[in-house]
Amino acid sequence: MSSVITISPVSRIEGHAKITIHLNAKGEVEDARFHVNEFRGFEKFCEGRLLWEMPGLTSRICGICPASHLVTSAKAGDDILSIGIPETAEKLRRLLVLAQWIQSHALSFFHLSSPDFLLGFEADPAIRNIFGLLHHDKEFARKGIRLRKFGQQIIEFLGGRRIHTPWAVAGGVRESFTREERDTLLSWYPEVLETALMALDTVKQIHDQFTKEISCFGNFHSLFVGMVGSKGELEYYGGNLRIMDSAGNIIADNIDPREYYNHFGEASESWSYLKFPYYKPLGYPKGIYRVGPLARLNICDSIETPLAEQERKMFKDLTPTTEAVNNSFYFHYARLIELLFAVERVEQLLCDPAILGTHVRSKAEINKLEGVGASEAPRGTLFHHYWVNEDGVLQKVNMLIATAQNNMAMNRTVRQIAMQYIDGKKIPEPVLNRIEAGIRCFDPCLSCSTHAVGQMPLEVLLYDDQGILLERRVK
Amino acid sequence: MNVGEIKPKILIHAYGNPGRGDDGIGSAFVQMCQPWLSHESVHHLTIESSYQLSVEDAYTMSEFDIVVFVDATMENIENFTFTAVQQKQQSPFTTHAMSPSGALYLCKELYGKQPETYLLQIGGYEWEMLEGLSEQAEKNLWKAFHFFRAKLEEWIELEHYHEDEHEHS
Repeated sequence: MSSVITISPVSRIEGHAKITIHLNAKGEVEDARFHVNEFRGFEKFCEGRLLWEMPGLTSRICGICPASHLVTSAKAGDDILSIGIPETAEKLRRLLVLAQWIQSHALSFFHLSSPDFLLGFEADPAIRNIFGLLHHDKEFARKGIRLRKFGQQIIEFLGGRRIHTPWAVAGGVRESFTREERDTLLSWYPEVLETALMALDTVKQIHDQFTKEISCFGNFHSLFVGMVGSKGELEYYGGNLRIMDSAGNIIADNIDPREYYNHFGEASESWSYLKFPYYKPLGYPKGIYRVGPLARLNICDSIETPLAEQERKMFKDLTPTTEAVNNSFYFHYARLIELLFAVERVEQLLCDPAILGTHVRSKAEINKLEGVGASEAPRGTLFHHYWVNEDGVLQKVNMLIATAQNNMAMNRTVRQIAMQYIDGKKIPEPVLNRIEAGIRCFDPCLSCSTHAVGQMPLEVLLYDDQGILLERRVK
Repeated sequence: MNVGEIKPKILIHAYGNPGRGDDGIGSAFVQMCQPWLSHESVHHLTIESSYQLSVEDAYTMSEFDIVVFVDATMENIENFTFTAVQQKQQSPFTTHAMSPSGALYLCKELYGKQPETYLLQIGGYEWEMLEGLSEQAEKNLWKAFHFFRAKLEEWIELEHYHEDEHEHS
């Protein structure tokens, strides 16, 4: 007899996600799967639109990281126009990407993950959230919100609006921002730096408390993929792709991201709408790879800001050898190092006189019928690939999104945690919490494209091998 | 609310995704309301638009006396509903969004403020990837808009805003 336990968060119109855990006759975990319905239809939706509309249009894909789609789309447009963009425009786009990192990473840590760490996986799920957190430490919660608001404020100053801003365009950006706005952000810097350092200290302190979780929260060998700068430094806007194996060997380097399709394939499974991207030379599923903060910290040789560079060195010390940090639990640590970097780098950019330049856009006609844009979104490398006709009308669109690239790794993480903790045909609440927390390491974007109105209950269904529902729990 | 000579600071925050059919009702509502911003009598009215509510909206709410959230709903309602929001905790899984009641709860707990908060929910029917509202959603939007104008007049002295609204009513 085998049983299936389904954990199904249900939302309104966004893609549904659920977890099914398959038990064998002995009640041991045989397999576990994380299912996500991705909105691949968006690519079809874009066909027939004009290239110049794409940045604004694709920024609607995601309610949490629209700026990443905006910039990546604009870069695909740059490629099709075959032009370089003005220095000020590139620096402003970089600022936008960093702002996106700040607000997204702050949300991931303060809103979603820190309740696990500060209240514990055994805590009642009714309080293991930001609401419980504010009873635990109100000032901590306030600081988290202020830090996120700093990132949002940059986006608002640049784009004029918080979310659906068509500010970045093929060839540059629509407008620069003012000296007053720049000064407002600079005056905010000491506070956000302090908060970023506090968050980092918090996560480092809890590592000793969660040794068991650290050992099994997605601790496996995989490749790591991301972009690095010309000197191997952490990159977020430009650069080339680097691929590292779990032993820390760089197996491919200096790959032009515009040729991503030569290196990565997308497999399908009948039980999931979400594709399973893999590294082509190793095939599927051996070519499993991870993107995002953990990957970026593993593959880079340095970070160009002083405090984050110190932290990177400590991060590398997590492994005694040159091996990559393979445990997905450390996504949180890596994410906060990136947060610190983003805060420091924002200050550097704001102090750069070029940031107030007024020449922000180059203009050209369609010069190529195909173009690719890539950037490092908060969750990992993001690719937009467009095919246009001579009038700039989109003929075909492909987007390779970070959450999809981590799909295999998230599945393996869920399976590993389930195998470690589940014994019998019930899932105790703390185990359920850990499975959720395992997914949260990757901070997948399940709310993409819409708002959830708080309607994301967790539904747990237990079936026997006859398909009869044994237990259903919703929280 | 009897505010006498004091004009309450009012925030209208509409949210939803205009690339998802009727989920764009919030955005369309904002477009209808925007002309008020240039109207002298409603300068203390702030209008925001976003895809979804987030934690920092609790901070923004704390700066207002009255907050009205505007959202599309899949629920089977007649045209629209206008209800007072009660503060309530929510238990997110991995969603990054915040509910109106959750935002109000955070606003009170973190900033000690509890603005009068309402949710204007407008019925929607189509949620696919397309721009523009369905015919019935458009009608619901206009009904909700007229209702809301009347509601605003209860709160503040609103000079009449003239638009070719008869075409749509």
